[in-house]
Amino acid sequence: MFFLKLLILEFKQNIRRYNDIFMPLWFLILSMLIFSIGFQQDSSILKKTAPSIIWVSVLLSLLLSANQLFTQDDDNGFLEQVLLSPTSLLTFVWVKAIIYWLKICLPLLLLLPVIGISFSLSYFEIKIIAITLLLGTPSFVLFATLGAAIILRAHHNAILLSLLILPLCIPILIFGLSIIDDASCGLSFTTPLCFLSALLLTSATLLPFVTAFALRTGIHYA
Amino acid sequence: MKHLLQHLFSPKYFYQFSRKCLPWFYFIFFISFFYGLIGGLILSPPDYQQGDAFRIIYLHVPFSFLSLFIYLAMATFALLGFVWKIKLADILMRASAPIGASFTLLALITGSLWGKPMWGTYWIWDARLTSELILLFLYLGYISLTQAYPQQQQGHLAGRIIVMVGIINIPIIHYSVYWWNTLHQGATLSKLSKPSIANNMLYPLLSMIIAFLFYYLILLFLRTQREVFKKLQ
Repeated sequence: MFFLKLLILEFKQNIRRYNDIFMPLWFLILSMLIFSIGFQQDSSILKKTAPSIIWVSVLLSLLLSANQLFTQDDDNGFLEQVLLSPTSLLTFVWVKAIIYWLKICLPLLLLLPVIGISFSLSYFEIKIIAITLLLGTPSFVLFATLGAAIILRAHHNAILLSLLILPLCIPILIFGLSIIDDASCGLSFTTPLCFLSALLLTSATLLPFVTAFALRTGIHYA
Repeated sequence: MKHLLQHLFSPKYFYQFSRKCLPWFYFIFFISFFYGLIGGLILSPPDYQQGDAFRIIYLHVPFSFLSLFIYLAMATFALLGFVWKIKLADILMRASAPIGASFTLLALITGSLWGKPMWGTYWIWDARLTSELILLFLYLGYISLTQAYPQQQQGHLAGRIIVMVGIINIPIIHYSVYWWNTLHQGATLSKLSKPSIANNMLYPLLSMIIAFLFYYLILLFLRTQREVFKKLQ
């Protein structure tokens, strides 16, 4: 099973570089600190905007290190070996996306209760935010892998990745936040939830193919 | 099909074809532009609600139509490049992008100038305005992506991919932003229903749209000619 082998290999590699796991968390908490200072620590505004702050900070901290997704494999030639091997590049893309989600988004989700308490959110609100993030972050990660594949050999790729990917992430952000909005008003949030899940399914079925294609063409022309 | 397309889009043929077309395009552009200007600014009556301020529609609607049309054209060129490996497609795409970005910016500017007397504000985070702004960022992203590579061919390929992803995303972005509800007036022109505009305002508007469409084609052909010429030298 090439997929599992690759998954375990990637997991081991990433767990050894634990600094990479902490830095996005660190960035997330810092950006929340900055938001709370920016709102003059007005707790009524903070409580109302907390879900948006959390969502935006998660998106930004996720895009922050995304440009490094394929660089190491490209530098040491592993990517070319995968390309030459009989297994499809799609497997590699999926492994990369899953590991990236585990590395960046899972710690953020685990930290969410603490963050929620610091914004004095209720248990119900924290639960809703966790559910929306659970559905939204995989799409963000898939977009980020696509961006990383496209800009692999480009100059100043860190800023370029965010500029390319942020506009494409806006629908996910809107539906995720409208779920939280409806839920906190006590309304039914089935419709935006369905839209968010539909976006996740669409990006999961289409984007990895595009990412694999982008990787293949990028290497081919280098 | 492939041979026909490759013949039509071969740089040499395209160069000759565009040289033959350009005088006609200039002719159509001038005729429709002046008819649109005179019909729009003098012949058509003031709007019963918006007065003379509505006349910016003769610029705003063509600009916003073209901002979407050019992105669609770029996606078509990207498809031509992917499926039939047409070299000229990349040149056409790269030539289109700055024109499309300019039209998007102009649509935003004319829209905000129109918004001030009508809504009392230059800018509001309304659905159409926001998705137009996102479109501008998609154009700018394409332009900076194609310039970010050491080799031009790589930039073209990356650009094709991002345009294809963008064209699938544009309807999603538009309808998701629509979710917030909207302040913008409904569409004036729609293919499926009778337009909600009087005929003596409609014809100048359509003529302005045709004028700016040909303006785009003129610019596109001139820019492409220059690129082709540079390559041949």
